[in-house]
Amino acid sequence: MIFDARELAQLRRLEILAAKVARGQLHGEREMKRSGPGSGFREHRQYQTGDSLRQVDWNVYARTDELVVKEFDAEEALDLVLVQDRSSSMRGAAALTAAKVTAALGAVALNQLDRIVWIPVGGERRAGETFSSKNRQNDLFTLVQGEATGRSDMLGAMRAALPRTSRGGLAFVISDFFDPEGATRGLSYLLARRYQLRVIEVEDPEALKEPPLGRTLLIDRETGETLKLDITEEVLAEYRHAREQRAEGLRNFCQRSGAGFLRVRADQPFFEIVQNALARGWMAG
Amino acid sequence: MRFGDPAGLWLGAAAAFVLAAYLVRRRVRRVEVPFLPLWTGALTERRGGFGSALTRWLDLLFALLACAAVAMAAGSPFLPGEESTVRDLVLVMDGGLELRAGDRREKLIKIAEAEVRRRAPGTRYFVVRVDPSGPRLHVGTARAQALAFVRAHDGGWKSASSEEAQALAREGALGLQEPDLVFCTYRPGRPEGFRLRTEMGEAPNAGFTALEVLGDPEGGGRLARMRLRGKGRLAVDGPDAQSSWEGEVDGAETIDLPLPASGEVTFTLRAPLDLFAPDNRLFLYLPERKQPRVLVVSEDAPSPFLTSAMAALEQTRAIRGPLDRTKPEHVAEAARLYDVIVFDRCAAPKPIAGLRALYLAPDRGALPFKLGPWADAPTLFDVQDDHPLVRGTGFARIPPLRARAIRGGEAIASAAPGPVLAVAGNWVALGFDPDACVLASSPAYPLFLRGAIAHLAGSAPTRLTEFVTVGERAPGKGIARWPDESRHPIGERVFGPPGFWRIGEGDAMRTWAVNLLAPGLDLSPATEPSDPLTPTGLPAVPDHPLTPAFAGAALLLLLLGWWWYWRGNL
Repeated sequence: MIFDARELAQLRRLEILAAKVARGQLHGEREMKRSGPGSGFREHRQYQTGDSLRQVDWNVYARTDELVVKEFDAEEALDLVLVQDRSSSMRGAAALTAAKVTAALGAVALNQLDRIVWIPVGGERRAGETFSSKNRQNDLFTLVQGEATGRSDMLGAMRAALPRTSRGGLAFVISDFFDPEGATRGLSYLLARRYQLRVIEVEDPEALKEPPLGRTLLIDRETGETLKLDITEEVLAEYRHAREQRAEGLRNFCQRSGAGFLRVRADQPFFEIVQNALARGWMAG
Repeated sequence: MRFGDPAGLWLGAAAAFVLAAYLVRRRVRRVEVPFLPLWTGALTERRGGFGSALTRWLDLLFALLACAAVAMAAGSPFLPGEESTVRDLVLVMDGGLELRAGDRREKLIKIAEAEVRRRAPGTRYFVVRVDPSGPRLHVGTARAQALAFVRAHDGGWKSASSEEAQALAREGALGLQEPDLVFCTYRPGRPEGFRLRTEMGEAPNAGFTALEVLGDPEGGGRLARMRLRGKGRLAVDGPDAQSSWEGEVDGAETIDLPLPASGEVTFTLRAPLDLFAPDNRLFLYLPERKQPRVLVVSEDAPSPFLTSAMAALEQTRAIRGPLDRTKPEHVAEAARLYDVIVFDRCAAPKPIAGLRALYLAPDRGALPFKLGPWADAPTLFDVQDDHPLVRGTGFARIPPLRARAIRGGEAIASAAPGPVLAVAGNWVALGFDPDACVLASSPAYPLFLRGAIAHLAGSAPTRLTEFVTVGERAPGKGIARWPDESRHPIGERVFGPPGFWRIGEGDAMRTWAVNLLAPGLDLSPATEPSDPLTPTGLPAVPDHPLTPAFAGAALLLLLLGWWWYWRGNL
């Protein structure tokens, strides 16, 4: 079990918090900005050939002799995409934190009867797993615990898991964004499919700790590539600069694209992270 | 550099190799990073830079040097010392009259010791002083059966027979093994027309004892009759084969050698010493003693005291001069031609530079020095009777003798109130009570004069100052004090620099100063320091271990390497 008893209690509190935030609607609680078979009146429009006569507002016709059709807001279940980075770069505390955050977000969403698509990044490429019932909550918990292996290929994982056409929805991406192909390519893919992005960058201070000075053979966790370097203070300064540039680039990307961005530490409790996300209204769509 | 433990060296080398491999491997740390591209990019060019390679090689060099130092340290390296080249020397001092006459014996010993120290620092030396038996003033050189006095370097003299001295020197009290012997002597004088040189000079047991030049009855030429003394095989090298001789001598031998018709002839005597082993002989020749030339200026025939004194002087040419030699111009000329001028009972001339003169009062009552009443009953209780001015004078048997010493002087005769006869530097200050002193009429007086003349002759010329007449205050540096009857000092007089002078308080006291042998007179030997037989002993130098140095260097190199490593410059 990914959560112990104390964490399960924290998870229940998160579900309650999410319910308060969402004000407790039932099925299809999130109002979609498109017409559909909902119960809420949106507007009248001119009758067009093919429209059902049952949609005609006969009261308006009796007063004005115009055939107008009543349109209502669509009320339907929300697709929540949870992208969990399980690549080798996440090995250790970052992977565990990402798994717990993913599981917690999934549990909160399932509690609100949303449909969840879980997409793992790293390891064997696989299609996204869909969860639409709270009964499968434990299955989700089991799946997110998988070992962190393989390379980061967020774009490939997205392509394999999501259909080419999508109605959009909410997408949480939990990753360190150490993608050799580019940290934002996967995010751009989601944005192109009209997903509202919620980006949680997990930073593992232990993994990013600077090595001591001297001749060092650097080994990439994911690719196994090596690099011999004479590490000096100057080199470390450039390393810090590269890290800051990369983090700034990710933050700017999210800001430009309207995506929510949250940088968390790997040793941060998942409860705080999810609570922070809920407080930002990230589950409200 | 040598190694005391070659096996350890190999072990150390092996260990060093392992250590070097370890150090080289250890230098590349393996670090797993989550995202290598963070380190690449701008850092890529740093991988293969020249500086990087250079620092790596320097790093390796540090490690290898440290390993080499470890290996060297394991081999117990040391700088080999030098074996001792100390030579034990025995200085054999000629105790003959030649040395004793001018009291050069102790001086000679000191000179010889100083010379040995100068030539061979670190050499242990011992002195064997060979004196003849019998009276101190026995005329003649030391003999084979002479009594020897052996003195260790810092010890006192020890009397022993010659054989005992030899044993003592070799393995007895001195603890020597096959010591080198250095014979210290003066070169002998030479007869007119001949120059005799012996390797031993006045050696204890062999030498020329007489030389006569005879006419050759057959050829009309010259014949040298020599009397040789010694034991063993002697040889006389003349100017040619006919004039040379070699043979066994046991005691005394007389030989006749033909001489060239004219010219100076040099004979060299080669004689082994039977007192000591013929090997390991070194000769430290001291400068030939000067034959003093003495001019006696006398109004009449010389006084019997002076005649006796001159008779006691060896090889002294005394020429009697007229009274006009007391004139200043004549004194200056005489000072140039003669070593000592004795003014016998005539007026003292005005002193000039370089004059070495002895002034004798006309008679006993007119002695130029007097003592006051405080010297009524002097009691002489100690006399340094081997001092040249006192030796043999029998001062101990001359009761009414009193003098005051120049401050700081060496007392050579002393009485109850204090020193009565003293030497300070090259001066002797003395005073006699003319009424009570019987010195001038005693047999010791000629000896005293002889010693004074000998010393004056051997002293370096010094500038003489004006005579200080009675009652005249003397400028100068010294202070003389004389006590009253209660033997407390009541008077004090400052007297002058070196020279002939007299001071006094009225007629109470007069002091006469005599120039003595200059202390700085160079009596160093005539032989060159490059003499191959000159002792060149040096103390042994112990091995100097280098293990701590190499171990320290290894540690230092390792620390230095680590420092560079952590500092990030390597």
